[in-house]
Amino acid sequence: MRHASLLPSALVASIVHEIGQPLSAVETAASAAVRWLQRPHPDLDEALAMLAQTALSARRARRIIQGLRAMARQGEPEFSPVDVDDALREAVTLAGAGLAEQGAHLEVRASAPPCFVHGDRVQIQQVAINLLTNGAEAMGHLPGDARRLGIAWGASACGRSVEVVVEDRGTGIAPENAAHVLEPFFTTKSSGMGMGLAICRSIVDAHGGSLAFQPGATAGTRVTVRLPRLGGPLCASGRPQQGA
Amino acid sequence: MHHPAPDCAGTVHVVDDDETIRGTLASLFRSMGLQVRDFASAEGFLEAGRAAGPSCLVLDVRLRGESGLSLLQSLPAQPDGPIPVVMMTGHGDVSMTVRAMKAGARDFLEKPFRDQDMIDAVMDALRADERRRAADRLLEEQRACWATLTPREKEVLGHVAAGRLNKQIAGEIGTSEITVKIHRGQGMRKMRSRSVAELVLKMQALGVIAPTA
Repeated sequence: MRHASLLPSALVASIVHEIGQPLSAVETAASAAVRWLQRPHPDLDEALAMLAQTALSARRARRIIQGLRAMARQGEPEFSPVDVDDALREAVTLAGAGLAEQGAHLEVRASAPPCFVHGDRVQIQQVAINLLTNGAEAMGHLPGDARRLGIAWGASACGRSVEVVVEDRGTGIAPENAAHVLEPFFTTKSSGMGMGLAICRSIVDAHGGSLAFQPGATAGTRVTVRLPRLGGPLCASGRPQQGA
Repeated sequence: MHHPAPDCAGTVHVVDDDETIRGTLASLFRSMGLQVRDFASAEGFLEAGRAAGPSCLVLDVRLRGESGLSLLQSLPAQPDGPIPVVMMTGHGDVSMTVRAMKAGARDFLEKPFRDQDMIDAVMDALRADERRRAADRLLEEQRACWATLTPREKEVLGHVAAGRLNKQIAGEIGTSEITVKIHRGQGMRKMRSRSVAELVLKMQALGVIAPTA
């Protein structure tokens, strides 16, 4: 049993911080409300404002718990040879309705030779869907025909890995946020939980791959996922090549 | 009432980039009858400066822009004297606590903190600032008194503080014992000191004689 590895310490620190903030606010606001009401001339407006804060902060803590549940549900990956082309085409179809709702036009480029990875098909699809959804959300402020989203996949130049590239034309990642985008609970969206990219990272890590962010060709963000290719010319991980 | 009313007035400066924490703390302190100034950044606080009268600073360790810790480290350089600081952290790592205490934080609270702990820390900080201000005022008064002394009176008082008798002092500075007595009486009156012990403490506080080892 390796209990220590169940929750990485960085994640524990994030949870402590993220739940500590709203809990502090709940206690402070409740205490302030009591004091406003206990004054010789109770100040109802001040007390009501603090009660509203109490509710808001409790809601914020609840969202964090929901985010943790989403991460816990992810579970242990079940590895098998995955046809990347087949899995991602399905992911694109699954994401399609949501993307259309956000008014994003999706352009798909897939390379001809089939690529396989040793991985969890559903989790790989989840990564692609999360990245596409993020990309579409980053373009919400653009006029309809400018919301262009691209996804491409294929073997890397050297043939050792499979690359999945998702590119949007949205707001891009501010330099001060670049170091934090993969942290759990980090978000710049008013409604986000900040779990999407953290989940992507933990999935990609579990597959021995990498996740990189660059500015897009014209604007926006280009995200590159690299996974070790199964049956490539030189398997970087040294894993025995398995038949597909 | 569960909590006694504050026994000292003052201003609490709150610096935290979390709007909710800032807003709820500000309301809590105002509900206690204190003045509050809140800032989203260290720079904002430095620009505005501290309020007149007794005050303290409630500061989050991690801020966007200049960090709370580096603000704390730059504080002693502030012209209006050291402000007592209560640090807050959401992370609570031990090394951060040690660094904050070394940099002069008066208290260190981990979020989530008990509201009463925060109230106690702030009241303690405000009382400490009031004591420091009173001590500063006193020293200022004594400095003004010292400035009214003539060079001769200063010289005589130096010998008095060193424990010499009038006769010894007269010999030392080449004058009569009666003249020493007059300078001594004038000096003691100007320094508002009724005993040599009182005079010695004041002169030590002013730095005109060395503190007793």
